[in-house]
Amino acid sequence: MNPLRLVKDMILALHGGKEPRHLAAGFALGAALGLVPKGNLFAAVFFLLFFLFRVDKRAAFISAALFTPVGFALDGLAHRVGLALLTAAPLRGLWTYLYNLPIVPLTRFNNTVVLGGVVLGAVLYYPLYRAGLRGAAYYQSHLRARVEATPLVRALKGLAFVQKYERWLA
Amino acid sequence: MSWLKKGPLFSLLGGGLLLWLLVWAFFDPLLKRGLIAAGQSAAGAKVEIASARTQWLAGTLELDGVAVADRSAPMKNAVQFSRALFQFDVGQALRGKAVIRRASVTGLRFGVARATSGALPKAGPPSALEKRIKDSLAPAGAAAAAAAGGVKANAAAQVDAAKLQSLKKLDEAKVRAEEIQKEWAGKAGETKAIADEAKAVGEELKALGRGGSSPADILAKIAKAQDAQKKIKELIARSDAQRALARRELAEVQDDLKRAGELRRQDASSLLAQAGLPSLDSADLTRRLLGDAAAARLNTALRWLRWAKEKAAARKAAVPPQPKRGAGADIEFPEPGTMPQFLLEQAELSGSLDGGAQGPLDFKGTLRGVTSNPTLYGKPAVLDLSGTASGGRSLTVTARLDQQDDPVAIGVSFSAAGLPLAGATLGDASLGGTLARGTASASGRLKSVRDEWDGQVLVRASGVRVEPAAGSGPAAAAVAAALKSVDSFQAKVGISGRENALNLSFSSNLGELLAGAMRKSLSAGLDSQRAALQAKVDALYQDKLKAVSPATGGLSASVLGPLDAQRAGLDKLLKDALGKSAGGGKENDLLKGLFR
Repeated sequence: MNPLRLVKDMILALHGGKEPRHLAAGFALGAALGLVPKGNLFAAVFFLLFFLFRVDKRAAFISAALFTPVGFALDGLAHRVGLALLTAAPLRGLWTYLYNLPIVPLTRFNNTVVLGGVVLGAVLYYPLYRAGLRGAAYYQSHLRARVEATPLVRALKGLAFVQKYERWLA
Repeated sequence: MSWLKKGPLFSLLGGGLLLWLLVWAFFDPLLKRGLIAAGQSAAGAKVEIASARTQWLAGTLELDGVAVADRSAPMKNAVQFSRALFQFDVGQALRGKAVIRRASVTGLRFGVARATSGALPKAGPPSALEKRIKDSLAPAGAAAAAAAGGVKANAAAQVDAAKLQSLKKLDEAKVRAEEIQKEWAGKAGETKAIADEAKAVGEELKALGRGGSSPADILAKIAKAQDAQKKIKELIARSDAQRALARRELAEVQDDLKRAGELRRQDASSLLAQAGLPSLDSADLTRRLLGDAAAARLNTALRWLRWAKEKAAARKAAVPPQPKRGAGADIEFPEPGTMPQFLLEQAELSGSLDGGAQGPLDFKGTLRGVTSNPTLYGKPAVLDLSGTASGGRSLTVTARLDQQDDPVAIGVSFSAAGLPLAGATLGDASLGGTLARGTASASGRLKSVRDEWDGQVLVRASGVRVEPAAGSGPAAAAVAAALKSVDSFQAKVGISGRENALNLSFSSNLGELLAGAMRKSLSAGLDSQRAALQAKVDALYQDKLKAVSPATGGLSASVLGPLDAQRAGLDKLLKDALGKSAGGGKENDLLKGLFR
């Protein structure tokens, strides 16, 4: 997927082309994918959820790209969370059951960082959704007009290449 | 449900197709990259893989052109192979397990020269083992540089005690011994608590001798005796923990003292070198002739053995160690009879050793039982290699990783005959030479449990001709003549001790030969200077040792003695309790009255 196209769609979404809740859901789901290490069935499932649900896929992909380094930075925390869950005596029966099922171990849920990342993604999903919702709505209702009215933006809009860019956006 | 698209099926199929395309396009390159990264992390040097191909339905992985550089000798490959084929169990793969039923690795070769350096741009610092091996050889290197210099007059008078490493090490041992003494004085509370609790249990046991003798009373007494037995076992566990800690700490002091003894010789060699006087110590000379070659091979062998042992031990740990960034730790939850997450059941290996003019020595063998879960697998990992070739050449290697045991142990034994020596070097430019011809047989064993190493390598060379290096210093001509006269030699390299105080010993008739030649060529004046300097170092060492002895000498008796006595008392108490709970042990007075 062309990254420029993604950026264009994201800007279009912020400019009112998409519903804020779709944008926010895409943002939160993408963040969850970003926090999980790739190369396992969890990541594939998150990826497929983008297509299953009516979420903004561009927002989801951009958010996943943004949150992947965040996931890497939170690696230590994810390891501790995953380790605590995987070594918790009351959960041992559940993990043993899941571990010995077919397919399920392909999620690599028994890896501390994978499980920790999934839990962090799940815990952060709703706050990120709310934050995304507020952010998109706030930009559209408050910031968009102000930003477009600033002398800098107006001056920029006068430039030939910016006009070309706006035609490209349209 | 407005969030669900009207045509979710098509969307999902589209997403699935996109995912499959991504996997199809990127799986093999990403796998190759992952294998290279993992290999480099283990080897500490460059790993190259020409190609990696997977066939999911057939369950195969094929690797071509794999080369692992040698960290200790970056212009060589530690190991390389032309092709490896792994046959995975597809059923287990669906359960997320990599179970390799059969594998074949062909074109194995060791120590092949590389066109480019195999050093990593950001190679990690040398390990403690590598440092220790380097330190063991340092004096020989220093002596080499000194032989060309002029001889200083009255060198013994210029010895500065403050600069002698052996004396510093003795001081360290003394400080550590005093710390341990103080630490254990502070722990007297725990020892006393154990003694008090043991006394109370002893009183309880005595009380069992009194009271009623009805069946109910007897049953109650047996229950109490069993309870006492449990308490004593707990006390024994606490006492054992204290004794283990004390032993570890006392071993540190002993290691320091042992190391100080080695450093004394190294100090003497360094000072002789600085004074321009040749060392006549045959072990030092052997170290100088064979040290570099032995160190490079030992570094490589010890690094890989240690890596295998540590991996197996880490896999068995109840709580996994802090993993590398982004990697996490896999925790397995097997049920009885299930397979480990990773298992290489058997790999057929074949390759060749460079045999010089006589042609390669082909070998074959197997590698069995490499696993991520040694406890579940329950068997050792074993490597067997053997081969024979014309001219009486042969090779046998057996390595065994006792991964199922606690602690994990690793051992290697090997023997080889008819190894070509032409082109090999001895020593350095100022003392040594190049072997123009000759063959060698070698045998050796190496074993490690915890951080203890023990092993030796014996090399017997025959049909040898040495081309001596130009050499310099007062004994150069005699050394060259001695080396030219060599037609066979034996060398023994020993390794022993803990990793932080590893002891490398070198002995060879070559060293004795050179020492004899140098002694004959030295003038009486130089020899007396050498002896005076040696005597000065010895005297300083003995004085310091005397000063340190009060702190280190009685340490074992004062720290471990009371703990051992307490343990013996607890053993006796446990024996009494066992007798009472079993209703027997008439020989013991404590039992009197229990069964009237």
